[in-house]
Amino acid sequence: MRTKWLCLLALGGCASPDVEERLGVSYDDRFAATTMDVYLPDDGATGRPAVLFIHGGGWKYGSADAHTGHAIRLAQAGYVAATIDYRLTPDGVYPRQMQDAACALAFLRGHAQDWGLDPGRVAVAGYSAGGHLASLLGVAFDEPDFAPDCAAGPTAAPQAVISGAGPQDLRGYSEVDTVEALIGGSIEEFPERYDRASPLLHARADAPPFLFIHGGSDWIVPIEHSRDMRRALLDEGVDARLLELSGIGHLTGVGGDGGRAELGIMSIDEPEAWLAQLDFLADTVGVP
Amino acid sequence: MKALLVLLALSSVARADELTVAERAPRTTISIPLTALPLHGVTVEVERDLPKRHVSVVAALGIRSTAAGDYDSKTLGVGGEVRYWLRRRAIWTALPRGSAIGWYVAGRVDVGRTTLEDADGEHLGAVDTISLGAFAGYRFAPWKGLELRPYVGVAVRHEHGGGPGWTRAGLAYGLAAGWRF
Repeated sequence: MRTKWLCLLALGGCASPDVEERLGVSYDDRFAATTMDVYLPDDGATGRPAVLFIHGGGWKYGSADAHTGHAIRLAQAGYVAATIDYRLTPDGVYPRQMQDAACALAFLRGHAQDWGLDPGRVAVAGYSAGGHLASLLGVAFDEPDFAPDCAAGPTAAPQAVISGAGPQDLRGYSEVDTVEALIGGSIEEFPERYDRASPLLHARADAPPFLFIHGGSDWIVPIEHSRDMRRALLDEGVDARLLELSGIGHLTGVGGDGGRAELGIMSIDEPEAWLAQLDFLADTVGVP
Repeated sequence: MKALLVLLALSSVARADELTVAERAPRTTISIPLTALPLHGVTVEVERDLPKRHVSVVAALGIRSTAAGDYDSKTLGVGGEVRYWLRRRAIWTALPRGSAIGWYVAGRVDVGRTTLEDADGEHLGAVDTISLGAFAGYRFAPWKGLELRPYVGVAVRHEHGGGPGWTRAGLAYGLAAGWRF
């Protein structure tokens, strides 16, 4: 009973007894920050689809905990779910964050047998800066700058990408401190880095399917980022879907009655987004 | 002692007068949370004052269609709230003391159902939500029956449907405008 009340008050939700947790698993032993929390459906099945979460926070803040509730919920639905930490700025300057994300994806696939997942059915999902990194994994996984030099090695693109409120064109943020910290300097100093780090400029016909989820009142990352990226992918013939959530901001969601706002809610955690993600995952990496 | 009795008597007369005036004041409010409008939705709240008990009770009905792009959604919600009015007086207020004005604290419950369709009109599922909240707010009535009511609080929401449920809590805020009559 007491646990239930604690669960009720927990921001990230509560682990169900049918989910096995592997917390703080290092995917690159060279660094303290490069760890992931893995949530496994405790049913002994193999060949399950998987989802890798990348948190946001302006490439400078945040932690894997941002997606703990979401990952547990997906694990309860039968997916192998992992949520990663990665090197943040100033340590995680270009291209280290991209390399870490690729390394984490390679590591997850490398543990297919241990964790009962199908390495050919892995989606990546991220929010804000995490949405940016997820998009890059989808369209720029073979960009030489982003090739990971970790033990897990390079890997292919994920089979699907869910990008929540992710910046898709960093050239428009060239004077934002957190972007400069990620790139390592201004656009005048490193124009080629801004290009390479902008998913919009990598749209390609062989990209995996994308689902964009974005609040219509997001003033931090305007919804045009997702609209433009979706359009670029559609022009290449890629399956790209956009869930716009009118009136929702970057970290402001809907209250229970639809009449009030709630702080700290990511648009990918809204009920509409949950349903869209389940449908998208079923269409792309399959149903567990 | 005599002076104290006189003071007490005057005080109860004043309170009785205040209550009588308040009882004659508008006791029903219909309001709309302005924070719902950008969500492509509208919620209507009907509130009835019970001045002798310092409380008012609220019933709410809301509908919104927040999803756009390649999707469409419908959310229908109903709610109930009990507000306890602390001092029943407020600044910038045309209503008499003793009315349901000024500071209040409230408990609220909402239930709702959200359904999602894709661009082809295919039904993708439904999520049911129940939300419990505790709020504090302040009601101004700056002109005749017009009311403005900002509020803040905490809400715990449980979602179920389309797979496993989950529960989370958050800070909530809103601004409502309405008319008392």
